[in-house]
Amino acid sequence: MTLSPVFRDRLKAIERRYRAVFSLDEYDESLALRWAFGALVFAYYVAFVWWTSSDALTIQSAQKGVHVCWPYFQECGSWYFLQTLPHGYLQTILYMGLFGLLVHAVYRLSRREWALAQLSLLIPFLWHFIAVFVLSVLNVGNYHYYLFFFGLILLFFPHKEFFLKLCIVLFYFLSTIAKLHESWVLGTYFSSLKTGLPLFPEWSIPFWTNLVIFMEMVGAWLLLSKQVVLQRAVLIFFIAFHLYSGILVEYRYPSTVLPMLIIMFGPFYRYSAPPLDRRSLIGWGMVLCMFLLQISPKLIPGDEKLTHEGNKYGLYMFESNHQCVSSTRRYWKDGSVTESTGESEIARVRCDPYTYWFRLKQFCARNKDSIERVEWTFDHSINGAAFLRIVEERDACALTYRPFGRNTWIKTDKDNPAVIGYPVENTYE
Amino acid sequence: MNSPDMPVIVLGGLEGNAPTHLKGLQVLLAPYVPQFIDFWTVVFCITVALVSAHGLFLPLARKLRGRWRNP
Repeated sequence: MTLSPVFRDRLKAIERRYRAVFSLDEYDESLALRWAFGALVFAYYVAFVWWTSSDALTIQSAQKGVHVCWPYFQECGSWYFLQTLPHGYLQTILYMGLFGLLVHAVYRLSRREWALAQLSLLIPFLWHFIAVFVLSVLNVGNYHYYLFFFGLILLFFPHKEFFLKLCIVLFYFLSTIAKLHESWVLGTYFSSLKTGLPLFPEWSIPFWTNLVIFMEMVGAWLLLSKQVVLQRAVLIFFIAFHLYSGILVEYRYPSTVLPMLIIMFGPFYRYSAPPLDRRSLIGWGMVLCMFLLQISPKLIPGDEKLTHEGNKYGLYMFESNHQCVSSTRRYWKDGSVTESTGESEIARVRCDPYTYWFRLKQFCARNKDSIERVEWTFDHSINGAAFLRIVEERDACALTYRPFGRNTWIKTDKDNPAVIGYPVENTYE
Repeated sequence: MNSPDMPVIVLGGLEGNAPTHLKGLQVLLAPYVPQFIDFWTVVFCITVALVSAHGLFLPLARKLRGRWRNP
């Protein structure tokens, strides 16, 4: 089938307009951007590999009440539509479709067809956004925040190269807000681990944690420098930092960050002056949003590492080492009482009281005809400090959770919560 | 950090581990944690001010001044 010349011209005009709207011609001028696009595809692949076999977004997880919604969208479970094995094929069909789109994007990239490559990534971008920020809080990890912003810039924004570089630097810089805490200033996150800080002696922990704070807060900006020696020295530091942190966090986080870091600041690096035209406003708006989101947990009174209120609205990696005990006494309408206790000893499991409350709330809803009330206590220890009883409620079923403010049923360190005991060293798994 | 008068709570899987305590440099630095946090907060604010002035506001002011002089 051949297209008429008029129709072909019209299609070309639409494509030109489309490329202009999303600044796709920037890919013609920048080898780094083309590599970054490839790294973006790879990062989506890594994200979806983890999700393909996960039941976090399936109808069954909502039915069992093991799903957890974001505090700002607590009805998310009613939107679940996926089924995975042994219940159905829909989830694997979705992820194989996404896999096909990723492969297609790489093919279009190799043919320098930027518009088709970008269109191929639209559905993976949207699904990733919905899965991470709308449908479940269980899919969240800081590397997903990175991936979202990388996708946003590379697919839609003008001045892609500049804002991608700035975004990487800002991730380092803003993460220090979460580190201004005993866990990093003293390094108690690591000294509370049975295995300590990898490779370095225990006495030196505060030296290394404060060095990381300095490099992320001040040094990271030198990644944008014109001075080659300084720029390369800082790049080498951060490459070493990611390889080192992989000893704890394994491949998932470095596989999202390291390729983008090396592409944007390695051999392809060239100084980019900050864009100040009207088209750059959207990029500067994104920068402002990143600042506001990172500061937002600080606007809620109390230590967000203990209460977790607003904690996930900004970067929160390695913010604290957690242990917790959640105990319930369930009073049934037939007069019987059952007790249950859940514990978490793994440092990186955040022990968010909201998560435990959300699941109790699902339990209450499922058993509303037979349950009278659920008495609930929640003891939380961070960074090896004492277990504090931050929740002590007569009926968890009657509680509600405010997503953007204080929840008075969660005690902060200022509310003098009861001290229950002190912990032993735990593990990072 | 933790008082020896309080009971030790050992969660499942952590049996046999030592109670948490401060180690090495932490013992010396622990009394000054608030001052450290204040110090880093000041460094953070100075960095924001310098970077935004150098990379955004001064170039923007230069551009606007140029446009004003040569409309």
